[in-house]
This record gives sequence, C-alpha cells and structure tokens, in this order.
Amino acid sequence: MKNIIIKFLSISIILTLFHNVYSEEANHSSIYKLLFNDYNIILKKNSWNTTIDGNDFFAYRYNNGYREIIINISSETKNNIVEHKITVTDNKSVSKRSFKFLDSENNPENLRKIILPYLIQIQHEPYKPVPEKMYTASAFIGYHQFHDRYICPRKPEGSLILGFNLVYNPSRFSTLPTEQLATGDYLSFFAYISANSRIREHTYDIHYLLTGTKNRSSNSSDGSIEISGIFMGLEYFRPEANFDDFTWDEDVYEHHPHIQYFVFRTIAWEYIYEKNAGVVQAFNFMAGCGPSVNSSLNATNISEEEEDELSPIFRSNFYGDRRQNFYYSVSVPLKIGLTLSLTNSINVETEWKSYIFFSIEGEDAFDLLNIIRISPAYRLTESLSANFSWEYWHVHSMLENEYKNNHWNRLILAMHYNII
Amino acid sequence: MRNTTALTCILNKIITTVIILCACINVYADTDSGDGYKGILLFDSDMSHSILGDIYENNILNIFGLPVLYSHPGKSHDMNTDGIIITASELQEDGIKSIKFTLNTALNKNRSLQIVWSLPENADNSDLYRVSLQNAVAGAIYSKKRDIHSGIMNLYTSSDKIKNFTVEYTDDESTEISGYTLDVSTTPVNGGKFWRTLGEITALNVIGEIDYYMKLDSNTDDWEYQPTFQGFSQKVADGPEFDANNFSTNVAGHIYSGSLYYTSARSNGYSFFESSLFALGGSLMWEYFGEYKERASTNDMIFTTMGGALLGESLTQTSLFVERSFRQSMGRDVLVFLLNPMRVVNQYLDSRSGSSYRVRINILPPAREDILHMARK
Repeated sequence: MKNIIIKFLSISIILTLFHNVYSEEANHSSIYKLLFNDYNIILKKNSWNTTIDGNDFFAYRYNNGYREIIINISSETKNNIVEHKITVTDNKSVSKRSFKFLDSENNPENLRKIILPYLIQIQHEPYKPVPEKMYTASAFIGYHQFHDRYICPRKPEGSLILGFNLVYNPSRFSTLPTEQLATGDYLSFFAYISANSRIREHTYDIHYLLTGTKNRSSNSSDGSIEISGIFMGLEYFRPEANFDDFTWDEDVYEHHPHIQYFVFRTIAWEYIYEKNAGVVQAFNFMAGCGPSVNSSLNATNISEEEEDELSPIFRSNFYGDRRQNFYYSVSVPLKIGLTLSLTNSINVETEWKSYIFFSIEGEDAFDLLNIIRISPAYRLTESLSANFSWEYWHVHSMLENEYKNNHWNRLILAMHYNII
Repeated sequence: MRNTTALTCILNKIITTVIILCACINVYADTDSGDGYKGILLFDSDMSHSILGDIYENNILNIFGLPVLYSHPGKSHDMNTDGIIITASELQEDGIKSIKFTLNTALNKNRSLQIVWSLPENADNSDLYRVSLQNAVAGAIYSKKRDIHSGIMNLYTSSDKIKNFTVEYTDDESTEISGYTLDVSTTPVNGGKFWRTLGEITALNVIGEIDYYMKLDSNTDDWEYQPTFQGFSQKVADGPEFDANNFSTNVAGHIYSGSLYYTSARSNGYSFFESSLFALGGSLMWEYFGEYKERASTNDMIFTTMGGALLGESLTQTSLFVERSFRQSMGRDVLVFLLNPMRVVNQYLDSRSGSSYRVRINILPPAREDILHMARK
C-alpha cells in the first residue's frame, strides 16, 4: 500500500512538473508570438521579408547588400525568475543577450517594453561583415587586334584594351533554398575601352534584375545557385577610326564603322547558374527584345556618289555631306554562355551572342549579327589570370532585297585581376 | 424650530458634501486634463537667441492646455509645482552653430525624464523647432500619463522619420532601460528630396545648355522653331520624332546625361523606378526647353530615360562597391566622384544641411528639485 501511494505521488509530481513545464513553454510561446508579431510589423514596414516559426524569427532584406537576421528566444525559470535568452544571428555573426524578469512581471506588456527595443535596434546596426562576397569585381588590361577575315591578323594595327567587370549578387550567400528577388537584387556591369589614339572602341553591357527568384541547391558542397527572372539591359558597341588610310579589310570599310550597335533590352528573360565545384562552373542564357540602333553593311563599301542614293534611314547630321551608318530598329538579342573548369588552373569561357535588328523607319531592312567567343584562361595566382580570347563575328545585312555578308576575327590577349 | 434647525443642518451637510464632492471632481478633472502637469516653463539661456521666446509669443505649446511660462537669465520665475521645463542654449560644434534643446520633467515612480536634441541654428528651421518641441512635450505628457517605453515604441512605429534607434540598459544583464537615442530625419526616411533633385536636374540642363551654345555650329542645322510662345506651341503640336544626330551623341551622350539625372534622384533617396521618372523629367526638360528650337527627339527621350537609369544604377552600385571595398583616402574619394559625381555632391549637401538630428532620451532617477535646479542652471 505504501509503495502504491509513493508511486502514485511520484507519478503525480512528475505529471504536475511536466504540465507546469509544458504550460510554461506554451505560455511563453504565446508571449513570444505577440512579441514577434510586433517586431514583424516594424520590419515589414522597412521592406524586410520575414518568417515566424515558433520561437524563431527569420528576416532578410536586399538593400544595397544582403542582410539576414535570425532570432531565437528560449526561456528558463529559476526561483521565481524567468530568464529569456535571445540569440541573434546577423549575417552569420552571433550575439546573445538574456533578460531576467520576476515571475510576477513576466507578461507580454513588459516583454514588449523591454525586449522589443533591443530587437528593433538590431536592424539599425551597420551590416556585419560577411565571409562571402556580394560584389565580385575584376579589371583587365591587354592588347587586341581589330577585325580581320583571317584568324591570324595581317595588319599591325592593334590597341591597348582596358576593361572592368562588376557583378552585384548578394543572394549568393543567402542560405534560403528559394528566395524571391526584387528590382536591383542582381546587377552586372561590363565595360571596356581600347585606348589607341587612332582607333577607339567602346563597349558596355549591363544586366539589371527587375523581378526573379533564386534557388540554392540542397547539396551544400557544390554551392550551386540559380537565378532566373525578368531583366532589363543595355548593350553598346562602338568602334571609331579617325584616319583615312585604315581599312579593316579590303574595300569593306571607309570612314563608317562597319559594325556598331546599341540595344536597350526593355525586357529580357535570363537564367544564371553558378557552381563552386565540378566541370561546369557557370551557365547563362538570355533572350530579350527592345529598341536599338545599329549599322548595316549596305551603307559601307560604297562611293560618295552612291551615298546620295542610299536609303534615307541612314543618318547624317554631323558628317557634313556624308551619312552615318546607323538606323533605328527593334532587336531580339539572344545569349548563351558556358564556363568550364578543365583543371584547377585552366578555365574556358564560351559564349554565343546573336542579334537580329529590324528597321522601324519605313524601309525593308534587317541585320543579323552572330558573335562566338572562346576564351581559355590560365590562373597564375589566386587573383591573377592570363586570358586569350578569340572572337568570330558574322553579319548578314539586308536592305530592299540587297544582301551583304561579312565576317571578322578578333584576338585579345589580357591579364585579368580579381579585385575582390 | 428644532425641525428647522435639523433641516438647516441637513441642508448644510448636503451643501458641504456637494461642495467637497465638486472640489474633488474638479481636482480629479484638473489632474486629468492637465495630464499630471501644472505647466510648461520655457527658459532661453541666451537672450541673443530668443528661440523659446518666439515659441512662447506664438502660443505654439498652448495646444496642450497647460499654462506656459517664459523666462530668461535675469528674469525670476517660479515653478514650484510639477511641470515641464524646456531650456534652449547655443552650441557650436565643428564650426556649425546649433540650438540645443533640453526638456526636463519628473515622472512617476521617482523617475525623471530628460530629452536632449540639437538643431542647426537657421531661420528656416522654425518649423523644425516647433514640431520637435511639440513632439517632445507630447512625449513627456504621454510618459507621465502612461509609460515612457510604450510611448517610445508608439513613436517608433508611427514615425517614418527615424533613421537610427538604439536603446541602453543600465547594464548588460539588466532589464531596466536607462535611455534611448534616435536619429530623426527632417524628411521621411524612405522618401526623397524632391526640390533638391529638381534643382540639380535643372542645373545639369543649364550646364548642358551652355555646352550646346558653345557648339552652336553643329546644332543650328536642327533648328526649326522660333523662341516664342507660338514656336513652342508648334513644337508641342508637332510632337517628337526620331532624330538624325551623331550615333555617339545619341546613345552615349544622352545616356550619360540621363545617368546624371538618375543618380541625382537616386542619391537623394529615390528608388530605381522613382529615379527613372526623374530621368524622364530631365529628358523632357531638355528636349522641350533646353533644345527649344529643335524638334523633340523620340530616341533621345527613350535612351536618356531608361538608358540613363540602367547606366546610373550601374554607376551607383560601382561607387558603392568602391566605398565599401577600400579604405577612405583621397584616391578613393576621387574615384567615387568620377563614377558618381551626384552622389558626392549630395553627400556634401546632406552633411551641410543638417538633414537629421539626434534625440537623446534619458530616464533618470533624481529628485524633482534636482531637475528643477538643473534646468534653472
């Protein structure tokens, strides 16, 4: 009988304790929920994306950088004192703080008054340094030979080339498997100039995300991410020659640049894939459309007399009597790129770009431009690599049932330096 | 007679009771309407800057229904009851003169509240003085009536002008809050500076106009309209068309000028799409007023607006990258200026205009007389 009573009492005590602990946890969970709800309203107002999961609060925001805040609250009761332990992970930097309340003062109103200000100030703190990079930037310097029909250039005319490449991709180190990306959460900017006093060439290419998603591979070892969405972009290629005796190939060109274009990709769908391991290091695809300005082969390789009979779509204001070689168009650009890692030191970038330009100026004209680039690179140090590029350009021009074709090769030797 | 006396006694008792009740109700009502305070004392420490005198003269703090007194050195004042004491004094830091305001008051539970903030000394800041004083007094009344911490939380959640917020506890383990620091913007944090942006875009177009007239020979070919109202009306009626200008002028020059319009708006607090609208506005201003003798150009407006936005955003991000990746030096500052001159211009203007001010809120545990003494000093 005595044993039965002892067992009964023991079970009762255990059950009571369990009930107390459970009800306390449940009680604190509801208090935390109220606290997190208040915090959630404040963060949402400041454009944070938030998730509440029990005692965990998760928030991230892209705002000129990526910021990820994870808050966990747990509680412990000893001698009528409730201790609320808060762990804050701010861009992987962890800090802890605990708040002790008398049991009688442990209510939602007090927690709101004392703990909410602590949580609020976290979002105002400067961004914590992150191990991963939201920017990658590189600069390159090299030499390139101008277009020639032969792969090995026969003319000595070349130019020093200076370039810069910046990719802003803060989602690269976000740990979420899937994220919605908003305007400006991805940007890439590539530009170069060739610095020869007699021949100059300018290029830039900008990709700007309007809306999209990022997916991270569940296999964390390869670190692969995919970004896809709607982008906007600009692309500009403009060579200028300021001496008369230069022809880029026999009789093809006099005065007018034989190929130049500007494309404003009003809307483009892009897919970007990046991986840290394996042979395939990167893959990207882009298809878009938008207004453009471009040249035509039909306005080159003609005499001054023939120029007078040229279509009025070719423009002239600043060349006196001579027309300039461009017309307004709508273009459909396509781009596919692939980067392979052959060994630890050798990477090969390949790219195919295609543009079709349709005149919007009342003439039956179009131009089709295809560019293929193969670019092996040898990594000399962690941040320095030697790069060789071969480009093949092909243009097919049509104007009022007149067809012309031409193709060029271009070689570039450059040293690339990864700034970060 | 006895009955009359008894009746008189009862009547007296009733009247006395009613009087006492009325007095009690009055006291209670008075406390409630005055929110526990008996008045507000404004004290200018320096008579040469009669900031609070102006506030007093213009009855700016009368909205709280409390008596407002004004004093300055040499003038005696008496504030023996519970009250809010506000002092103003001149402050000079880094060559910039400002007015330091201090609000002191006793709260419940033997606590005192001190709110300190400084605003640049500027005649144009009278509205800012008024608003910040009204907010501080409202905060003090709320704190006395209810609770300072709830008041701060309500202020934080309802305001769109708080740029920065920190809380201090009495120590690392404590749950007792000793103060707050708020950086308050004079304009909404998420909003932009419209007039400054418009001014900068206009200035850019004026510079463009000077350049246009310096290259008159190459521009006169396009002139079609007289600089008259009729000419302008005709230009509007004709509408835009694709122009025949130089390739690099059209797709490099216009895009760069668009990027200046865009970065002006972007560095004044506007988003990508909002800044793009400013680029459009800048382009329209140029096409219709800058080149008032020429036909407006369709291609210029498209490329200046969206090309300018995309190039401008790229330059914004590149300049941010430079700022974040390299230590501050002259070389870095020059590079940022070359990449994004409008950002540097606006950073400078922000630093000179006092576009934000810091409010320090201290929750102190002194005796009431100490606070009054401190305020008098």
